[in-house]
Amino acid sequence: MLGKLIKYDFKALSRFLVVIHIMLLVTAALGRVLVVGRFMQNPDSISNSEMGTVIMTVVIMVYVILFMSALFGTILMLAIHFYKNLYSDEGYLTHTLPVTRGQLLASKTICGSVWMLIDMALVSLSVLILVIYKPFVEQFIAYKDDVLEAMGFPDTVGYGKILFAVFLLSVIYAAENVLMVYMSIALGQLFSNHRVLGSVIVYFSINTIISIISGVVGAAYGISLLGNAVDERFLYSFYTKTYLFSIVLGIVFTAVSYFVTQLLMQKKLNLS
Amino acid sequence: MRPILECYGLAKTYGNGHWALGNLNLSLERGQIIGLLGPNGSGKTTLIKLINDLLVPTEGTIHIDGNPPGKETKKIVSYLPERTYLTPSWKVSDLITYFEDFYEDFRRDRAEQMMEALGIGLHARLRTLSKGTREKVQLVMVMSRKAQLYILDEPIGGVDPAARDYILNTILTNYDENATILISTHLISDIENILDRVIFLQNGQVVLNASVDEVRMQQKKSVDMLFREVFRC
Repeated sequence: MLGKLIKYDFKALSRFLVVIHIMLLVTAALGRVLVVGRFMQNPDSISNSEMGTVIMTVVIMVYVILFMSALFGTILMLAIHFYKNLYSDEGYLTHTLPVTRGQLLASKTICGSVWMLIDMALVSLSVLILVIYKPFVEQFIAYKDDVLEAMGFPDTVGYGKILFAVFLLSVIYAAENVLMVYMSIALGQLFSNHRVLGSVIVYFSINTIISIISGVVGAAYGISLLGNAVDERFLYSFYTKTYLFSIVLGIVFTAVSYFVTQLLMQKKLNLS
Repeated sequence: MRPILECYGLAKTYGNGHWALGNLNLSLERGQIIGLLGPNGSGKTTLIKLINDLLVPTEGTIHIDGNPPGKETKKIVSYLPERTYLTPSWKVSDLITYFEDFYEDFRRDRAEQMMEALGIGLHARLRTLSKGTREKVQLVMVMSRKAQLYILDEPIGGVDPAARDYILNTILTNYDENATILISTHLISDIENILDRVIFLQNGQVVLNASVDEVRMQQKKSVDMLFREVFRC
């Protein structure tokens, strides 16, 4: 049953998200050809022609709008789908399917996190399409080991390990963000009126509290690290400790949000 | 055979301190068509939502075929809410596939046959259908399951009389002898003839739970007349 729920959640989410991300990539490619490419070949060609300036302005504006829509639109779509599917009239069908509340939440968490990851990957890809520049890539490949060394990584750590670490952090970041939204919506249902507004207020309150906690704990932790002797491994040890700290904090926030959301769905569901 | 539905000491209060149901005890036998009748605000929809696990009871217990509301009971309860829960962008055929995917007791052939009889195209988008047609679609979906307990909340309210007859007929011809149908409605006279039993609710309490024959024999009245008398304003 979980598989079927995932199938339908993906279908519902993808309708809008696929379109907006394809548009983002196409605009990035257009921007690359019409603006960045021409500028790289001959910096004067755009500023000297009026048509060039108009095209550049339009393409960049459209790109920025799509970039923002993809970035915020994804989390907004996840929020809307979660609310509509579980707490609006549609919830009358969703909650009477022969599945457990745990399966409903698991399906929405998996689909939401996967879409967040796709979004992060495609938004990054669109930036790459727009700015990547052959001489830069050639230079980078020629000096790739020196770059790592200059950043303080020891020989044992290659790009593979770093990419894996970034991926792992992205997965946790995605799940954490998605569950924070879900928990806010579930908490918003505790209000007897204005449940959507309640959810929005809860979301921003939780985010503020978490920023403060992360900021204070992170700063204290950072200062404690600085007390150590500075040697050639200092930077690397700073990276790994900060990384582990972020991972642990992310997992804790994710687990707490999941638990709270599940509990609210099980014990406090009151469809109006 | 144990009753299909049992409620003990069931109570529900909303945030504002108003008791929608108070200490309600109810037991429904199998193989009956039961009318759940009462004025607006008497607690009919609250009771129905509690049975379907859409509300959490404040006090008391509910058992459906011996299980508390949950995954197991949802397999055997077919519920028609008073809301439209359809996804507007879906086609009728998408909805049929959805029901087929999740409910093991769903009969595709039965659904398609009824849609055809009511003149509803399988490729029509739900968004393009009128309000009455959407209600028919939902009712067809609910009645196409071979459930043990059907709960219909205001099933014929927005439907024209011709379709109403067809739907009532469908209910009567499709339903299994051991299945129970609980119908909540205001339109008593329209369904009185198909009811075996009536339950009157008032202020969250059961004020009458009797067979239609008992009402007719002992009170010498139709259910409709008795309703007007009991709930006189």
